[in-house]
Amino acid sequence: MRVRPAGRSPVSAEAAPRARSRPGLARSALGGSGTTWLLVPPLVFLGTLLVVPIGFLIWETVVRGGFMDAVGNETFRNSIPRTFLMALIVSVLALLFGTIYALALVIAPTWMKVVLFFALFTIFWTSLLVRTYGWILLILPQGALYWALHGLGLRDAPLDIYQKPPAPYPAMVHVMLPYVVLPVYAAARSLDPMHIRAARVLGAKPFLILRKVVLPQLRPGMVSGAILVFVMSLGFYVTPQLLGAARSPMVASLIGTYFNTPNRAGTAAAMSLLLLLVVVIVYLVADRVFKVSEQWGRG
Amino acid sequence: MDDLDRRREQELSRRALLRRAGLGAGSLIVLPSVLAACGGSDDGTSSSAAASSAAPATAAETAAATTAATAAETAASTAAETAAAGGESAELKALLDAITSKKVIVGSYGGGTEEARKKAWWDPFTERTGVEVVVVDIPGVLGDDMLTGKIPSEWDAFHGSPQETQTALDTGTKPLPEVPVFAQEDLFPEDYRKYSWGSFFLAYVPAFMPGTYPDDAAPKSWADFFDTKKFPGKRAWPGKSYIEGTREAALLADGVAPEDLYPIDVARAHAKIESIWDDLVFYDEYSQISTFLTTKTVAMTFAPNGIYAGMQRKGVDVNVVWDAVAVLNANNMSILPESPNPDAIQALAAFVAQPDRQAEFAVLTNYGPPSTAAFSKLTPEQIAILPNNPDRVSVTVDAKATAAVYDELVADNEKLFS
Repeated sequence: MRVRPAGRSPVSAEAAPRARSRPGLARSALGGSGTTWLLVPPLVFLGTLLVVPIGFLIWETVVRGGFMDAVGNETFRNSIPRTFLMALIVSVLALLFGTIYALALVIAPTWMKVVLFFALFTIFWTSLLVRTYGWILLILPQGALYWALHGLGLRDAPLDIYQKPPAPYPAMVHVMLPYVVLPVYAAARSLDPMHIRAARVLGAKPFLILRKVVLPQLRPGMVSGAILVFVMSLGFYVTPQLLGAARSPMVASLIGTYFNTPNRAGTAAAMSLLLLLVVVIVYLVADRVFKVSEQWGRG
Repeated sequence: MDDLDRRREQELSRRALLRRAGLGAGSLIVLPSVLAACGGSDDGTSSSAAASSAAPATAAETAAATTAATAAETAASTAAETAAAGGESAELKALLDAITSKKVIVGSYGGGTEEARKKAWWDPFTERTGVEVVVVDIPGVLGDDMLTGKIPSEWDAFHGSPQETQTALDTGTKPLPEVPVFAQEDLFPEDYRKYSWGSFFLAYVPAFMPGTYPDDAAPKSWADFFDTKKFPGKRAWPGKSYIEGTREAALLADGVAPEDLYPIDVARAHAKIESIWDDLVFYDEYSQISTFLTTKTVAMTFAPNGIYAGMQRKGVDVNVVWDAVAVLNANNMSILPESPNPDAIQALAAFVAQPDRQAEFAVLTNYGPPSTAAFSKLTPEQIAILPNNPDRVSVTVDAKATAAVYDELVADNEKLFS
């Protein structure tokens, strides 16, 4: 039974403040004069570095008639599902490894935590090209991996991974790992050990605890990490280009090739805009389904 | 009791604070990662066209200016000495003395070729005239766009080829500047002679590392390159952006005589390349070729001879198959229309055309000089290893014929790579 306070005070109490604070929306929102100017740097940043280049791309596409070229290009059409599949697989793998890594970070003893963090930030802060070249040297037919396997007597013939379709996956998961680990770690740190203790006291097996107690609380971090990795992988250029098969280009590789071919800048611009459109759609859908933007807002 | 309550409240609020700080810090860490993501994933527009960097890959670099020498350090006396000893013609001297610009800007693809140019051409030029030669990296097809007049020229010249000159003649909107008549190179293809300076001939030849094949059963021709049964192992082949020389090599391997190469039978070349497709490993940058050879990723490579010469200069032994019909292509420096320093670039073009300058460049790079006068400055041993050695069997890429079917070749390459 709901207890109602006497009189209509709740309604009127709500109505009154709103009627009072009409003047200066910004003023009331930011609480003071002049703070609206704080919006100027990010808006200028957004305008010059995002809106203007996209405007150029649109102009380039329209003027050089690239849109029909792009849509009619069979290689481009074939590369779209391929890119989606790659992004999906990379996201799932990165999510799996990233969650494990983040949980390890939380529960590890201090010395191991330091080592793991150091390793993570080394991945993060090493140049992308250096990382990719490291992977090339690993998977070359007679590269480092072959040297290890051959030394252990496990393999005689040279490896056949380099420039084949599965080659970019380990490298991309390696590159994307920090983007999953950090959000999941942020969520994992707020895990209350009391919940886990309570579950254990009530008789839950470890796997059940993981499934019912830990993972649901990590979910926002996992989702934002996975979406981030997915969206980034859609447009990833360097790693699939250098490690993947020549006959299975991703959308970004194609855009790169067309920009480097004379007279095809319009097609490349159209492809870039289409990719951007897809990425925006993916993000909007993810936001609707997973409420991703709330995660950014909360921090 | 009060103390305990107070302590517990402090603990709780501390935990809450830590929780919020952790989330905040976590999100803060993620924010630069988002920014890094924007930077990290579009790092693709590496200047990969025709030669070095790409990649690739490479990393996104637009014009990176490097100064060739400081004019202030060169004494005027050295300049006079060089002028006297170099035997400059009167016309050259007139051009060099008439320069009023402070610098001249040149676009290049870097690598060993650029190092050689700096040593043989830019530094002596700066010593002689005091004019700085600013070298700029060529991103993508920016040089072609300037040559055809699509965008205003920011540079004075760039590393080009007869094919690009032909395209500019066909589709360009601005008239191409001409090199001084006395400095034109007599071995360069006639149609482009007046638009080219600082040219050289490169040869696409196969090569393999010593020990890959027994000495008595070594590959000797393009047919051997395409024969993966008799000569097993992978082949390094240019990636999607490079077409030059590939179709000619494939046709020569298929038995076409050098005289009958043009017009190119695109379908026949396509079929030949397709026949060894599974054994091909692709490179987007010339620098990957030496990596592939030294890491034994490939058994044989298709590449310009300068790459092999560069490896040999660094002490790595490479067996270049000069017995195969060398597919020669001419590369040049093209003066851009309406360039910022026209007087300086004309003088530079004439300076570089001197026989001893060309001879020095040829020795440094193992690329063929474009004028007969340069041959007179070289020893017979040096001439023997040049791509355009008159005694060598070679075929020069026909720029006009390839420019005419350029679109068809690009479309065929797309089909090949899909």
